Amino acid sequence: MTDRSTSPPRPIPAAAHPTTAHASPGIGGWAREYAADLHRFLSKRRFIESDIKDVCQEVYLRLLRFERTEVIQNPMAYLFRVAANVAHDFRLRQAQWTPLEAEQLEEPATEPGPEQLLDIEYRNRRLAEMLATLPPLSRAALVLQSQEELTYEEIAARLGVTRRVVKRAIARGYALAREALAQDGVI
Amino acid sequence: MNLGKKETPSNASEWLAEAANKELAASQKAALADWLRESPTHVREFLQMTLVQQDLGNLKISAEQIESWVNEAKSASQEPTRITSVLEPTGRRENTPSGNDGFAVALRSRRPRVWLAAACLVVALLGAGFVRWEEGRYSTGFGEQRIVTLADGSVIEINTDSALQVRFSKHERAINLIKGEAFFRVAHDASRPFVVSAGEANVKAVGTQFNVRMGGDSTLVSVIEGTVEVRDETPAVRAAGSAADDEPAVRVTSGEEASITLARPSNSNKRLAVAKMTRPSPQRAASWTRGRVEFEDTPLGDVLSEFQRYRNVNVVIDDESARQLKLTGSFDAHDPDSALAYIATLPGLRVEEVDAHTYRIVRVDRAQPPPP
Repeated sequence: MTDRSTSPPRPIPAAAHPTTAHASPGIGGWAREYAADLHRFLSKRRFIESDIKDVCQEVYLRLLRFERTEVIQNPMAYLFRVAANVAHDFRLRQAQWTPLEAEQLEEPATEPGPEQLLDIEYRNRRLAEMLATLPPLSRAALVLQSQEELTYEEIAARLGVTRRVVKRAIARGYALAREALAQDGVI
Repeated sequence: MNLGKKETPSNASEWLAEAANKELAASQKAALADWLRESPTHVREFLQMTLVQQDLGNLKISAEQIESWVNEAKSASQEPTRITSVLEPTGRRENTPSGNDGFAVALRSRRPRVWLAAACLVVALLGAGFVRWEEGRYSTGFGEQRIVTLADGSVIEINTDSALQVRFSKHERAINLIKGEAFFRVAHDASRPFVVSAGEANVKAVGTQFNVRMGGDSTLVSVIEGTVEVRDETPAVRAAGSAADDEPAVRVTSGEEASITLARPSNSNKRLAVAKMTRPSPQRAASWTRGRVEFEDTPLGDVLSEFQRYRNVNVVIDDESARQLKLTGSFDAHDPDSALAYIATLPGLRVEEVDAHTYRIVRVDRAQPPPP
């Protein structure tokens, strides 16, 4: 464990493995571990865009503070951990500045509160609406990938297109989804 | 296998897919780390897409729904003209036969929990509008100032009540000043000019320091260091096409200021008029970045409206000759009281406090009837 004065408040794991047991190799595992934290911050309220930018700017600055040799060991672990830290700090700071939102501070509970359930519901509704607007190929590819956890080769076979087309469709899907949802303050 | 340059992910969705597909190779991890450390926008897009990806997995979608979407996609992919063909990058293996290739690769790379494998994006979506390193919009409220460091190391200081949009691409660092004032310290990068557009004027810099202030009917460009080029981007000039390139841009160098106004605002063939002048103290234009406002023979009316940019203070001057009084000095931008205290010391002027936010400046050397 490195200890530098520039480190974020919560430690960054030196090991390249998440604490949760599953062995998902890719981003899924890392993201799953921290997504709740991020969401609790990023979508708790309909976020104004500048807040998200401020958070990401801070994540970025903190990433810069680490030695490159450390970050490249496991960039995603750093990214999600730092983002969760920043989201946490930012929430505290916001709560101090705006007493009106103090009730939104609550505790960093793992159980979603009623308010959070509403947020999840809202988010899911927006996601479904967003899916409806996607080009058919992108929509099908994204859904097969995320819901049925198919590989892109399997998706290609299922849809009767080339892998290449699947890749493009998914890329397009992500780009469009992010654009649509970010506009609504869902992410 | 020759991994061409094209296969290194270059945007968030490609990286996400690449990283989600499988454990990255060490070199890819390094590339991802470097890519993330390149720009806050990269960080943001990557995080946001990760959240989308997580959420999609948690969404409850019926098998029937999925099946109908699959069928819809199948019929869509049969159509002769596909939107995706626009995205076709020029490159190798354009015509991979679908069935065999896909199947063979599937067998090779099948993995127990590769739930995101399909997102392995190695195709650069160049020209599709997705490779857009948009840094986003920055704005300041009344009395607020903000310093933004961009991905390239350039620094923008944004003055009160201003807004700007940053858009970086491979070929250009484009800033659109929407309103207000900003000071730019541009990191040198000859291959990517730094272009500030303000209204219909373009200010192009390579490595320099300058200030751009948009006013009601004119824009002022002040150069502290280096040289910038001011270019007319009115529709008429742009419509002239390549001729616009021949249009001599006005070069403004250190210590100079250019005032840009619309030459014929009422005419549809409007053009910009650029008037250059030399400033005895070029630093003055950037004094606000140090929290100061500086004046040089500036009419009192303008001095006061300058303070009103920063703080909610209302100063009434009843007397036109008082409004035209010339002032020189340097004040704390956020402390109009000290400026008013100074104004009160000027011979012939008196400052009256009407209420917490309102002052009235009156002349005392004339018989001035008290206003109602």
